[in-house]
Amino acid sequence: MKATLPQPETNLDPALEAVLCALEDGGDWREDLSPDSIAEGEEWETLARELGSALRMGPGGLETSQREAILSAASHPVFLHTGAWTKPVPEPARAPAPPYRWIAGAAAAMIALLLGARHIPVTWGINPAAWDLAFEKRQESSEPSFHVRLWPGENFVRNTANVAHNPLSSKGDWSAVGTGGGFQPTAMANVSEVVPALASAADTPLADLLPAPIGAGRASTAALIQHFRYSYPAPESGEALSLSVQTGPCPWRPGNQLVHVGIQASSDPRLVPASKSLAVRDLRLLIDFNPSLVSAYRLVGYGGSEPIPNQPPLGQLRGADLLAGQSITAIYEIVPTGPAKSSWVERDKARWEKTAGVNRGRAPDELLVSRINYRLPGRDKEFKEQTFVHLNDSKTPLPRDDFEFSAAVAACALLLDRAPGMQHYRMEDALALARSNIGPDPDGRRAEFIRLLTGKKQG
Amino acid sequence: MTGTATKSDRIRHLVETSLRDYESALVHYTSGLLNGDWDSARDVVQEAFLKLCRQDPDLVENNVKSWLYTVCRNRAYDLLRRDQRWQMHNDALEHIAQSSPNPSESADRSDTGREVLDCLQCLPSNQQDVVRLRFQQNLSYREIATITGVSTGQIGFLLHDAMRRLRGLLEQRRRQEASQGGPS
Repeated sequence: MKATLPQPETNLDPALEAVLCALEDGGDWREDLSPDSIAEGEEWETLARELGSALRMGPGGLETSQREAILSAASHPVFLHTGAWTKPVPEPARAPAPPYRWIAGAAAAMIALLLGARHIPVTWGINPAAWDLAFEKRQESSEPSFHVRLWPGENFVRNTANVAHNPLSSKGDWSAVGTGGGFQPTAMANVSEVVPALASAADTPLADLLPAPIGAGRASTAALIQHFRYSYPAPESGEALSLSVQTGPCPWRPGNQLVHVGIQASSDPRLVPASKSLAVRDLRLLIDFNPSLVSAYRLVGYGGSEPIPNQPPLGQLRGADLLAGQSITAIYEIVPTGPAKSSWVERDKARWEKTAGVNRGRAPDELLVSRINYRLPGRDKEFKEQTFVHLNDSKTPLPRDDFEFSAAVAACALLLDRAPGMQHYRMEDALALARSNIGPDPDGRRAEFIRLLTGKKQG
Repeated sequence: MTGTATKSDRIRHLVETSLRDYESALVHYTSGLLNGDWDSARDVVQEAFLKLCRQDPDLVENNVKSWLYTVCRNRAYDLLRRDQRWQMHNDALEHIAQSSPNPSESADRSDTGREVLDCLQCLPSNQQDVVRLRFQQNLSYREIATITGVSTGQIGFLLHDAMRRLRGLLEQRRRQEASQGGPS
């Protein structure tokens, strides 16, 4: 088959065209050409040869270290999908629970049903998996804990204070089990420390979330991320909340990944007949990453030394209250597990396998387990939901512009904050990312953000 | 579980074979787009391969070559736009047409390859792009069309026009060198 020729209205050089087509098709360009054209064609052929030769000059190839980094990443292909909306996964096959636990579980189920727990797919007390998990944590309570997580290449240390004073640990729920023996669960992130400060960020004017003048002070990264609207799916009928998790590349550190977590409250007033405006109260979220896949992480905007604006003392923290239809967003930066693992990673891995039940049939592609605790208005009962997030769940990915815009916002805020680890990323990059992911922007907030920061840049 | 393991194996195999087959060519190509900035080109290519590690093999297995070129090309253009090197390309076209070569500079560029590359830099960016993809990377029109998002017919036209302009620039340059006593 002949290569596609240029349009006939152009003034073609038949010899050149014959040479180009022959290069494409492997035929003899001299066919059907006059002797004069053949001479001309030889000129073109020489030029093509010179061009190819000249263009292939130079060192070429990657540095050895770059090649090794790629091969290492290929050996640990953590993120095969860009989307990972969560759905509760079927429970794994597990050993029968002791009879007393089933009796207690059945009793708890009856009580829960009487209290109206039908909205919650997994609740503490009627879920054998949760019970087993707590039981195993209790067994592990004498283990030393490993909560100081070094951020590779940076002076970033996991905020151990948050772990040591984890307010959830004092509530007597599953995460509290074992604290008496010095054990803290592998789950470190406690968004409940974050969300009270964020709950009002959505309604705060953008200009108030940025330093004034821009560049003169720090920005509240987490509040800025929270300020924008993202397309989280509404909770299913009868559900109070939906949890959305999306993984994707970290723009400022290509080897890392971002995990965008969104919680959307239902806007259905029938769910909470006692109050038509308040949807969920005292909401707490814990994220526990699988150490087989994630070697280190941080909650973006909450470095070890960064104070949380308007945060009450840790002991007095309560969860967030979400109005009907409101949402909460948090972004984690995570380091995919590489070949060099320290001993604590191995220990955490063993612990994860126990808590997540990997060795009892769970899929190895579980990225994290989220635990959401909350209450509904007019009810004292605390609902608890546990969801395993798989890398390969990609049923309803977050729109790319949502994910990337939130990443751009995070990057801008971190740059304004002069956060460590941003030396290879520039504000221009972040703004370009924001601009190309502005999306429908129905409330104009994204455009306003770009305008404010661009104004700063030009000023 | 099995499916995941299989995908992991597949993506690893894909990365390893792609690295073997395209690494050097991609660095050459990207370096050309970045005006010979080899270090940046390597970074771009590394970034593309790291991105490949995160892809679903179902989506890239059958078009990994085009995928890699497209990712490198897009990233290189981002860098070009950022650094405003883009404008330098267009400025250089007028510069070479209007000014005579500096004799000492000409001596440095006496070899034909250097001459050809200098003139190539003076072509419009889209023409440079298809020339590189065709003559440096030996890609088919169809592959070039996939990477650039331009129809195969338009690729043919761009190549044709690029070659004619390139030859004209080379002849002009050689005439100027001859009138000044030659480069060497």
